[in-house]
Amino acid sequence: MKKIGIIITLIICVLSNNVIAINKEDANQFVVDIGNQAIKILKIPVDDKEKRKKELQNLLQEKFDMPFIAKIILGKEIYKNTSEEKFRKFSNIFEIHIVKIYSSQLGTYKGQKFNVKNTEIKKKDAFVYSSIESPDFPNTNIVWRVRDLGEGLKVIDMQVEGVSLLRTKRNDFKMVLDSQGIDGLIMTLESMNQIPDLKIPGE
Amino acid sequence: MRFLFKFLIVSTFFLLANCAVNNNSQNIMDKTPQTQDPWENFNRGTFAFNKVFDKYLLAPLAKGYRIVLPGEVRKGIRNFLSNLKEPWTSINAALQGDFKNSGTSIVRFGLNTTVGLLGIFDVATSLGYKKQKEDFGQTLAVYGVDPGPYLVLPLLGPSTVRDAIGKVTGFIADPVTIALNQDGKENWIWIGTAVNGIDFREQNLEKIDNLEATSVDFYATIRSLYLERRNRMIRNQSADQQDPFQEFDIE
Repeated sequence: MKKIGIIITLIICVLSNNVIAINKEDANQFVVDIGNQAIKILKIPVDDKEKRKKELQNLLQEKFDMPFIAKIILGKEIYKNTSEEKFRKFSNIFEIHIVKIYSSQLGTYKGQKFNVKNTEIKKKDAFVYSSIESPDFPNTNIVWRVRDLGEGLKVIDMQVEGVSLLRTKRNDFKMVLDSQGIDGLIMTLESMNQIPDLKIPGE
Repeated sequence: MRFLFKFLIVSTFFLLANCAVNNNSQNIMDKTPQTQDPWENFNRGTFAFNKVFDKYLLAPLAKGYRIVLPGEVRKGIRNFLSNLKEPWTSINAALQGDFKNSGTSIVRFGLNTTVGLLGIFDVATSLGYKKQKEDFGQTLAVYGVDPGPYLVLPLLGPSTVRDAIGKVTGFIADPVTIALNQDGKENWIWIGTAVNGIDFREQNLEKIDNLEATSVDFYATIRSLYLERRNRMIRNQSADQQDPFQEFDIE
């Protein structure tokens, strides 16, 4: 009876680890879904900027771990000294900021195809290598860093042609964070989020 | 019944333990390397100058270029100028020991110059000879030369000390440049460089303007984009081979 207990314990141990272990195929499919959603957004007419923004926000909320990304961007020290309420405020403003960035950078649909090439599992994360192929422009390579933090697979960073979203935003925010702290950054982002919609490439 | 009870206790324990693992996984381990920018004040000055140059000259020229010339013509000009860089790419690829890419560049140059009507049409890409640009900055990197401090060059924009040396060497040693100099047509070198710049700006009119509008610190954003992109080019690894996030580890 004792042996059975040990065996069951081991099985549960393995099973419970699998809850957070990422399966290659799942990560692959997860990113394929993101690609399909992104292509749908590209197909929304550029005049309908509100719909593009809304769909992009849905994509971010569903597929990206935005609070986790916001936490990493702030850095350990600042995050530790920030109240939960203030962090939530920052996280929401940051999300709008990211929507603003990507809605202004996402062009229009011109026959682009999204392909997932390969997936590697390293430690807790899946790295999904994909590319956007276009008849008119050079291919764009995107690497997605995907992790399961207990709420299903979520993107925690993406690297477009070697440029990481996390690292770029950390560098972008560093000067304001160093000089004015999180309050200064919140104020700056709030005012930046008010600027009118920008002209989309290809509009 | 007792067994079932034990089973539930053990299951609960492991599920809770698993949740604990999830919480721990949100700890942040930031190993981001610090950007080497000891001349930041000076660089910010040059960056401000370049922004003025862009606002009053480059961007308006790029807008005019877009209005005056149709997309297909602009693409032809882009291909023509890009084709002239193939010999220099071939030399650098060979210096880096990448003889496959070196050969590809020669084939590309031959095909595009002849079949592609002096490079206006990029027939080589459609035949499977893909473009992979190499410059002397990348060659120096392969030989172990560190990038040195970040450097913003007047008019030319973001660089590092190593890449700036690479650019100067490129101006002097590029076979096309040498040929034009020997023929007394050095003006064409400057015209080609200027058109390249205008074409790049035209291709990225909205992207660069929007990036500025959505950046808290545009200087830092451009620096980050340049250094990361350059790093990837130097590592010369295809998207599915590289270790994408390197030291930026999130644990």
